[in-house]
Parts: sequence; C-alpha cells; structure tokens
Amino acid sequence: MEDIITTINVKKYFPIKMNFLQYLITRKREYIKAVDGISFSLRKGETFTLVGESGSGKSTIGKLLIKSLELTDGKMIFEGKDITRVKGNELKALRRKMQIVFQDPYSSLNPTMKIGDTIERPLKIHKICQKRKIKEKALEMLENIGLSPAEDFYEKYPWQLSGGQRQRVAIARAIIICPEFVVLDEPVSMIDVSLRTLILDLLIKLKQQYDLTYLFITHDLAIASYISNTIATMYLGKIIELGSKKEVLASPKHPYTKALLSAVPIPNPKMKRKKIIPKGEIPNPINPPTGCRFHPRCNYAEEICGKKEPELVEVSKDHKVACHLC
Amino acid sequence: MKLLDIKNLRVYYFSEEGVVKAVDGVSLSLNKGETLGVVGESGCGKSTLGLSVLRLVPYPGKMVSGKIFYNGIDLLSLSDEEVRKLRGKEIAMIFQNPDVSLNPIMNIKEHLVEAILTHEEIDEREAVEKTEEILGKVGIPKNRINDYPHQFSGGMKQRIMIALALLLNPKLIIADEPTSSLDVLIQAKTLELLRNLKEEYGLSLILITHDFGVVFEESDRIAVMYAGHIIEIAKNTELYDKPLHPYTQALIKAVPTVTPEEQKLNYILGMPPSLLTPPKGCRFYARCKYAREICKFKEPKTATVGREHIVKCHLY
Ligand SMILES: Nc1ncnc2c1ncn2[C@@H]1O[C@H](COP(=O)(O)OP(=O)(O)OP(=O)(O)O)[C@@H](O)[C@H]1O
Ligand SMILES: Nc1ncnc2c1ncn2[C@@H]1O[C@H](COP(=O)(O)OP(=O)(O)OP(=O)(O)O)[C@@H](O)[C@H]1O
Ligand code: SF4
Ligand SMILES: [Mg+2]
Ligand SMILES: [Mg+2]
Repeated sequence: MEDIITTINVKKYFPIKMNFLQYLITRKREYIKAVDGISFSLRKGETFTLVGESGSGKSTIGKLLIKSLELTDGKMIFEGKDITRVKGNELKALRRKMQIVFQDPYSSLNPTMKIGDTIERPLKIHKICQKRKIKEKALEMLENIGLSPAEDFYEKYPWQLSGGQRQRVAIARAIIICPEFVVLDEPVSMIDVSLRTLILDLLIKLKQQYDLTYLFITHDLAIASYISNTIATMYLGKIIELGSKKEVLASPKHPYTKALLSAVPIPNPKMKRKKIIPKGEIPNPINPPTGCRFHPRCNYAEEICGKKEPELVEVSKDHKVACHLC
Repeated sequence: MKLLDIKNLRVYYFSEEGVVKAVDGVSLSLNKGETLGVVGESGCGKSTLGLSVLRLVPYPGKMVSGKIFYNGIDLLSLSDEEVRKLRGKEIAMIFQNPDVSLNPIMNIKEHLVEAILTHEEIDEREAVEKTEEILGKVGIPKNRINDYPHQFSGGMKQRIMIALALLLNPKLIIADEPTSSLDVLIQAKTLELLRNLKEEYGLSLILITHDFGVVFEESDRIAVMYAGHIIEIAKNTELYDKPLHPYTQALIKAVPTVTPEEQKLNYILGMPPSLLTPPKGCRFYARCKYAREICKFKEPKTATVGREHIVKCHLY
C-alpha cells in the first residue's frame, strides 16, 4: 500500500509562559518538548493508532498532521507533496482532505445549531455540493450513521441527544465532505461501554465506505487492539515502538510497551497476570532524561541507555523499536 | 454481622425539571473486609448511592425512604453532628474528582493536619507526624508536604485523596471512580496500594467504577446498576461465568480486551431511560433482546438465584 502521510523528524516545542522576573533570573526561554523528533508513515486505508500515557504528545501529533498546529522543526509529506509550510489557498484545499474528531461530544457541537445545520455546514464552507442537494446529502449521512429516522434527527438540537448520538454527529460532520484522512482523538473515551463498540464499528464501516485513513488516538489499549492495523507507543514526545497490531500486541519489545500491556486490567476474573510497574513517575517534558528517555524507570537499563538516544529501528518485519537492548 | 446494610433506599433530586429518581429502591449489603464493586452506565446513580452512605447527597437531592445500617446503627436516624463524627473516622470517601475536592489555596500538610485536628484530640506535632506517615504509605515523599495541589500530577493528587481518606483509620471506604482519570500504569499502582492498605488495616471497600476490567480484578462481589436500580449482584467469578440479567450479559460481551486476535463484540442499542420519568415496567425493557409483554408493564421483583446471586428480571 502507498503512504498517504509521512513525517520526518517532526518536532513541536511549546514555549513555557514565564513572567518577566522569571525570565530575568533564568535568562533563557524554556520549552515543553511535546513532540521531539518523530518519523513515521501512514499507509493509505489503514488505522494507525497512537497509544501512550497522558502528556506523551499524542494529541499534539494529531494537530500537527492536520495542520492546526505549526511544526517547530521537521518535514511533512501528504500524498507525495511537501506540506510543511503550505499557506493560503493551498492550505484551504488541504484542510478539506483532513478532518478531526475530538473526545468530548458535549463541547464539540454548537448548542444553538440544529443537527441538520451542523452536518451541512462543512458542505457549505467547502462548497462541495450543489445547493439543492445539500439537505439530501445530510439526511443520507444521518441515516448512514444510524440516526434514523433522519428527518427527526435533522431537526433536533444537541441537548436532545445522548453522548453516543452526539459523537455520531461529530463523526458525520467530519466525514460528510469525503476527506482522505481523519484524526480521531479519543473518540469514544467519554462514551459508555455499552455503546463504545457501536461507535467503533461505525468508524470501521465508514472507513471502508469512504476509503479513509485514520490516525486514532487513545490511551486504552483494548480499544487500540479492537480498531488498529498499526500501533505506535509514545513516551515523552517520542515513538518508542511501532508495528502491526499483531506484532506489537503479541510480541511487544520495548520495556515500556511491555509494562503498559501488563498493567491493563483484564475483564476476566480467571485470568491473572503479573503486572510490571515501572518505578517512579513520568519525568518532565521540559528536561527529558538524557539517552533513552525511559532509562531512569527501566528495569533493564544499562550504561549506554543513559548516554545515547536509541533510534527507532526495524527488529523484524513490520516492527520497529527504539531500545538499545532489543 | 454485616458492616453495611442498605434497605430499599430511595434518593431523589427535586430539580426544576422534575424529580430525578437517581436511586430508586436499592438494597445492598457489605461484609467486613469485603470489596464490593458497583458498575453501571453514566448517570445510573452510582455516585448518589455512595454519597447517601455518608449522608452527603447534595441539594436538591433528598433521601426519600429506606434505611442504611452501619454496624447495626441506623445512619438516617442520627443527628448531623453524630454523622459528622462518623465521617472520616468510620466511613470515608474518595471522591470522583480530586480537583474539586482539594482546596487549591491549602497545601497538602494543611489539608491533612486540619482533618486530623478536627477529629482527634492530639497536638499539632503529632498530627504532622501522622500526616507524614500516611503520605509515606501512599508514596508521596515527605519533602513535598508543603506543596500545593497544582504542583502534583493527577496520579499523585489521587493518592493524596486516598491519604485523606485513610487518615483517621476508617473501617469502610467508598471509592468513587478512584482511578478513572489515571493512566493504566498509575491506575495499577493506585489499585495495588488500595489493596495493600485494605489488607493491612482490614478495611472494607465499595469500589464504584464503570471499568469492567478494574471491577473484575478488584472485587469480591459485584453489583450492577441500571437506571437507579440494582439489577444484579453476584460473586465476582459467578457474575463472569453466569451473568443472568440481559443487561449484564450484553455488557460483558461489549468490553474489548487486549488481544492481537480479531474480536467479535456486542453493543446495546438505545440509551437508558430518563430518571425523571422512568418506565413503569422493567427499566431495561426498551433495549432488551428478551423482553416480553409483562416486562413493559410490571417492574420485576428481585429474585435470589443460587447462593448470593440476585437478579431483577422477569426471566427468573
Ligand atoms: N498549547 C500548548 N501549550 C503548551 N503546552 C502544551 C500545549 N499543548 C500541549 N502541551 C503540552 O505538551 C505535552 C503533550 O501534550 P498532548 O496533549 O499532546 O499529550 P497527549 O498524549 O495527547 O495526552 P492526553 O492523553 O492527556 O490527551 C504535554 O506536556 C502538554 O502539557
Ligand atoms: N444535583 C443534581 N440535580 C439534579 N439531578 C442530579 C443531580 N446530581 C445528579 N443528578 C442526576 O441523578 C442521576 C444519577 O447521578 P449520579 O451522579 O449518581 O450517577 P453516576 O452513576 O455516578 O454517573 P457517572 O458514571 O456519570 O458518575 C443522573 O441522572 C444525574 O443527572
Ligand atoms: S425484565 Fe424483561 S425487559 Fe427487563 S431485562 Fe428481564 S427480560 Fe428484559
Ligand atoms: Mg490527548
Ligand atoms: Mg458518578
């Protein structure tokens, strides 16, 4: 399969807000290294999932990819073209091809807008479809995402919908303009368990139907295991393991991925597993540890780990790891 | 003897839109040393149930009827003053959201020392010593005792909440989603800590969560709530092997696990009924695969099926 997006050594640093006095004292600007040199490719048609703990940089990558954040450094290729610095009309055209769905179905919809208007808006903004066909298209989409009878839902307001229904509207709004690429940032983490799989299955169906590629962000490994083709683990602004779902879940290599997988609670009281809990807390992304960022917490760390940063290298087919000992 | 015995409890919120029947006829008991998991969909009344035990249901909520016995004492007959003495010392709560429960302008020492001094007649130095000891137990270093809530990570704040709950050596802890805002590794660490402390102090625990993984790993028994009712209670493995209520059955099949294999998962269409106007019959009726005519009109009774397994459904 061809690649749809490639990132090369992408970085995003956020300056820390300091008051004048702090600045006088330190005399230097400090940065949160949210994303700190990441290279990967998404293959067309796949679901590429980023997992990792809170603050590791997952959402920042999502925003960089859809160009809602400027990168600090690095390069981004979309459909064979360098989009690192696109502006103006070119950027606008690009925006139509890239959409994002956020975690919170309560705050992401405009409360004063009817569901019908919400879904039609992107069609109008991007002038994609003939005026007289707009409503028809919106109704078709509502039906497609399981909000039927569509005529009824078309006239409703967000507050009349449950969380799961709202999230379906948010998804419909992103997909109605037929993008190529969709970032799904924790799209089901606020949805009740009884409905999560419904939304995930809907996403899988839409992906096939509209030929989409997903960047899926979650910290829930069970959800990652349900939806992904490829899984990448992040730690402190770096991808430390990347591979096909089968490879990463069946034979995780990085000590951090192993720990993460071992710690997921199993909804089966008969299965007990020894949990590997790394010592200490996640370090500060302003001054990440030298060498391998995980080394202060790693049970296997050797001398080299504190000195040299390991690169993300292929250890077997469809499987890359950044660890000196793998 | 049972440590806690809740009988036919009803707690309603008298809101402007109408009466929200958040807990609507719940009976539940807890043995000494036991961990009881309470699971259920968002808004089904889990937190309200937990708050009732401490008599902390906020306005416009009211306990309408029912009884709660703690160690044989009828909690609802106690005066406010008597309940206040019980809180923290006998029964403590770990609240759903640490950011709401910790005062941003008080440092950790002040939080804990003040809590000790209002309950125990010891001097400040002893209180500080005790605070340091408890913080050590939950893995917060001594030298951070003067720090303020915002200087701690989410996981650390959650552990400070646990320290606060443990401070006065309660016998019963009600933990309301103690780990739902935490990452898996911090969650695992926090749950292990709770488990160890439970053993060390012989505590009993009510663990409220919506995470089936957590509840199956931590609980002795599990109660499943749906729309203000408890619809099933069983021992942990029994509930896993033989879920009886159609809701429990469907829910267990809806939970993904971590596996490289393909998974076939279930979901439950529709949504829970409004608690302003709950349906007359079974509250799960509209979403139930097995519903019959009677389910629409008549509320099912709670039936005991086998040892310590109860279910509220017309099929049994
Ligand atoms: N606009 C911003 N300004 C300053 N710092 C930011 C900004 N956005 C993110 N950060 C910081 O960058 C780091 C990565 O944040 P990001 O939101 O990408 O993490 P995440 O992996 O998505 O976490 P979560 O799982 O909690 O959503 C964090 O330390 C965060 O505090
Ligand atoms: N102060 C209030 N006024 C009116 N209704 C309320 C109030 N607090 C809670 N409710 C309602 O009571 C019901 C039960 O709420 P509760 O917080 O106990 O649910 P929960 O099971 O803990 O949900 P969650 O999983 O989202 O925490 C809900 O329908 C809620 O909307
Ligand atoms: S009582 Fe009827 S509707 Fe309710 S769960 Fe049982 S079978 Fe289903
Ligand atoms: Mg995020
Ligand atoms: Mg709650």
